[in-house]
Amino acid sequence: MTAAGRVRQTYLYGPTLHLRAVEREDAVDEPCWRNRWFPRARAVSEASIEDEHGSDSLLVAVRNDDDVILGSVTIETEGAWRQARPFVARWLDRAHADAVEAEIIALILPFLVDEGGAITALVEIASGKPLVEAALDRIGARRCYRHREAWQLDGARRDKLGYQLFDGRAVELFGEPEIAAEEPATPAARVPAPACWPRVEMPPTGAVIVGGRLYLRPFTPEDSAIARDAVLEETEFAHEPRFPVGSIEIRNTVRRAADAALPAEVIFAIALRENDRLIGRTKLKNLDLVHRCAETGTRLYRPEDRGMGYGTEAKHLILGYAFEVLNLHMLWSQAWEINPRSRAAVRKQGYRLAGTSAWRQMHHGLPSSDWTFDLLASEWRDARR
Amino acid sequence: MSERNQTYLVGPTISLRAVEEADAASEPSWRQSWFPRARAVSEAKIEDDYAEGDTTLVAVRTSDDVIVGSVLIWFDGPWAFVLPVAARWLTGDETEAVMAEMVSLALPFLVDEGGNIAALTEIPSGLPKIVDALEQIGARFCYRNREAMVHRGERHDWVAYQYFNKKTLAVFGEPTFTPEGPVAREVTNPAPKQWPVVETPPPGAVMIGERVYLRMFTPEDGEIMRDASLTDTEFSHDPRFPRSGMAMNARFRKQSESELPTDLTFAVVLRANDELIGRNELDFLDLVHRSAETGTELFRPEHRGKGYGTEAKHLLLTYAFEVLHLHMVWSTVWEENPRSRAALLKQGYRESGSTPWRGIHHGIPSGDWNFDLLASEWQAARR
Repeated sequence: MTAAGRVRQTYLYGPTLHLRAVEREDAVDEPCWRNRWFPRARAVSEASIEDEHGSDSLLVAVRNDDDVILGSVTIETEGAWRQARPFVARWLDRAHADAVEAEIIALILPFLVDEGGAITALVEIASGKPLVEAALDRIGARRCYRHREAWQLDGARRDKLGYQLFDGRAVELFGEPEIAAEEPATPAARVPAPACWPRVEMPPTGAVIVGGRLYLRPFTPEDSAIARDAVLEETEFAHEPRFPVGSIEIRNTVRRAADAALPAEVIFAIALRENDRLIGRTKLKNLDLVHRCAETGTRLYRPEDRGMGYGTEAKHLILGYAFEVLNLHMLWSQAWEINPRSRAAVRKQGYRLAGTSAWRQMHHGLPSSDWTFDLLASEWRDARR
Repeated sequence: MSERNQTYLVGPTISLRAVEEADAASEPSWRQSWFPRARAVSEAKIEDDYAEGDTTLVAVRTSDDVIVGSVLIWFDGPWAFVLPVAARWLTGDETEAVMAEMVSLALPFLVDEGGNIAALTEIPSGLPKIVDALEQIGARFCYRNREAMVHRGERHDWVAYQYFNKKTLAVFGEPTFTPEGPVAREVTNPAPKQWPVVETPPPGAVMIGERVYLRMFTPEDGEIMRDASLTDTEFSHDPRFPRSGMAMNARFRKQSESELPTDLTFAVVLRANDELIGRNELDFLDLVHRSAETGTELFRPEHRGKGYGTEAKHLLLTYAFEVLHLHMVWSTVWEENPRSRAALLKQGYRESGSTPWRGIHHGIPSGDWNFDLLASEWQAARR
């Protein structure tokens, strides 16, 4: 029995396991609960555990009978919204692993919502797990979206299913959240990527990928002042409310992303070929090289550059990078439901409506949702002309 | 035209030169990495990353000094490895032409002038211009690791060609090449269909088999590995050598400190008594190509020949194929180690050729056998 196991906990208890905070002694069993692709040597686990788990964002799942650690759940908080990411020890066989995942989810979602007061809590699961889906049905969670072939499990590709549990009181007040039905198949891209990128004689300085009118390059220190000025003169907002951002913060964000050996975010500057003017940024977020998926996001800084097809060309350039360089299998995207222009843009580029990430934020005291979209590498390639 | 007047490593359209500080601005055209870096990071790190070792040469177009790619050169004793990469903004045809010219310049330079016994390059399959260029300079096909890499969005084989030193050939004669083995092959020691159901896992276990399990290394393991290295009776590839426990602990700690390790090493431990008996690993791990090299070592003679290595290997392959979702793995075995060769073949690996003259042993060139294994083949053989 671990030291932590001797303390009796009175809540977050299920029929076979309970969820508790990480303790120092858990470094020994880190491969059973740390939600990463690469387990670490014990010396590193012991040296890092306090710094990494000094907050309450991760709970380990412990078997009630004998205190063996079976997995964990990581909780992400954004305003009144939560996301729970379950993880199951890799030594468990599939049937037991699914049972553990089901029990973790059935404990944590109601805890976060019914007791914690979050308006909703999201969990993403791999398709093909009836035990887990049944547990979600039992607690009253609703399926909100499906990102096709976004994950791999046991060596095979699976869809990623988004389920949400909604706060009963919030539902009484605001009514049932509206969940967009997913489209059965990808609509034909009205503006697909060109069959090949143009032949370039003299590349712009630092260019990574070069299109007909634009190119993508890494950010330079000089770009941050241009991006800052654009933020200060912003006339609208795509997702987050506009807010003044300093050039130092912009520079730091870009530098930190580039400093990481395994960046979760790859950010490119979008520049015009004709005069090298920086007009926006495009990025891959939540990049996962094992699942081979990421989220895409594009922003053109100034109104005069919008509606001219630059965003679509830049998007296809980063899709070229994602699919042809990084060998990703699929991408997804989100658009705020109050931003129909973004929705129209991604559908024109070939993305499919995959459902809704419901009540993703509170806006003017009201829950507000995102549409979510998916796109397979094979679909993007087939549409090129 | 370049202001500098370089007199060697100059081809019809490109020249190869060392990295300069000013090259930070065009780093995405030559740096061998999946992730281009923000300019501030390139400028801050270029000196530390490229000032030592002379291992990267940038390929510069002679007509206008535009950087169009680079070659990474890696030495191992009297042998060199050359990896060409072209700028991503080039078209497919241009990429092939640039890579062909880079290897045609680099291989003879390293061998005929540099005096290495051989220089090997790996290129994506299906690019005939590069093969023509390699054959023109007299390089010879060595091995083909099937579906080991991704080039411009499509899966290709890694094909290896080696350029041999003519003076060394005059002394030692023609190297012996091992042909590629057939794709259809019998697997006598496949992975089990399922791993056992485990009630209580050993502490820190990652993957658990019937008799052995894999876990990460602990500080206490250093002493055990040191003792094993001091009493070794043979060696599988590199000569035996007394190791320090501290150095081995540091090696595994450093691997784990990286967010994107290129080597992932597991301790192989007996379930019966938690005795550490060896290690196995994924080296050159690349999550974009989705491939890695596998390696295994059982520390003591009494644990060899009992099937522990094979069970541990299949646990490692389960991690590689079912957790990390790799597409294939490869392996190399010193040609004087037939036991390792036999073990790989029984586990399902295919002979993918050989690397004659991979080093010098007792003053004589000595080579490796090469092997490959696809995830789909490993899965299909399970029973």
